[in-house]
Amino acid sequence: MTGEWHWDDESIPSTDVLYRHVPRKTRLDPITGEWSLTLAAFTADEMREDGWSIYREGLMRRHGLTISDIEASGSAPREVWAFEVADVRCVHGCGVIDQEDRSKLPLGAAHGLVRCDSPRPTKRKIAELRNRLIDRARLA
Amino acid sequence: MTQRKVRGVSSRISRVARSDPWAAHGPTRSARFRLAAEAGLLSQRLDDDVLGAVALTSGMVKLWGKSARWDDLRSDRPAQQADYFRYVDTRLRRFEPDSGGSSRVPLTGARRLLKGVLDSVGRISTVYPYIADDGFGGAFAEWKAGAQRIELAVDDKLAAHVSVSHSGDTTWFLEFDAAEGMPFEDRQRLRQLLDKHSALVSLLNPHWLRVFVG
Repeated sequence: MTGEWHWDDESIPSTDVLYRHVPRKTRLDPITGEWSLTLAAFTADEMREDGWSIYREGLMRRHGLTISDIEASGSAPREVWAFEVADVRCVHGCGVIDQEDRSKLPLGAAHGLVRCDSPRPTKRKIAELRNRLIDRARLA
Repeated sequence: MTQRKVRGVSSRISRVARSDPWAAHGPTRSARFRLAAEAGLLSQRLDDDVLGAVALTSGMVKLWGKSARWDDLRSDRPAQQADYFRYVDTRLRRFEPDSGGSSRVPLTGARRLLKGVLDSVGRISTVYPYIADDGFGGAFAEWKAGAQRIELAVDDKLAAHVSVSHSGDTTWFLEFDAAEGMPFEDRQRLRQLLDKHSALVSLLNPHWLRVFVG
């Protein structure tokens, strides 16, 4: 990894919605009866590779993309979950950047990454962010 | 939990009861369950004490007056008995490559160490966790009930961690060497958390075992 580490783009509004396409490994809450994400949706390994992959609604709108475009992009059983940029930023040292994925155009034009302020964040930091996002994420 | 908080929760439960579409026709099982879930969520938000949840649930039942039958809730016990240790073993074997889930094939790597930690903190009646592989050679177990979430994981390098959160806020995080096991005091702390979690889930949803069938 070379150059400066970009982990948050302040021009991205905190109210923008982020969509994450994750393997269908959800868990049923035995009290509320609601489905929710698990650790498998936000692994430390993926965060330390490059960040957690997302699609940003502001960019999707600009490129005429919809949630169904995300749903159609995977082969294995996957689901689309949504949370806000603010949910990421409320954990100190965590942010969102845009990063076009040219291997997946046109959908890749809306691609971005959830990152921490270090390319190798601690497990504690990753757990803090994961706990927050699992609590806030809703099935899109 | 303070008296003021209890009054606040009771007031909220009363509002739910009044707005319940089944209320005019008397309490049904689904209505009672909905109220129980509401009480559980509120009690978790306000206080982490299971006794608080018991008091709230009792209060909720009183709201129904004579038509509320506490025995009905008590009789909703699952026909099948929980066996936490067997469940943990069976689930982890599903992720063991080439084992076909057979109990004759020993668990290896992260799965073996995760089983060791899970066995050391659970009881036969402990509510089951969700167990899966993390897709990168590690394995994890998660308990969730309302606002509380408990995560126990061993990664491909056999490093372990426990993370506890409430409404998304991390309240406890600990890293440890899975091969050496969790330090005694931390193990006791996690065991107590799981005891509370299990008591709350069993109280509010006696059918919790059905969530884990299949």
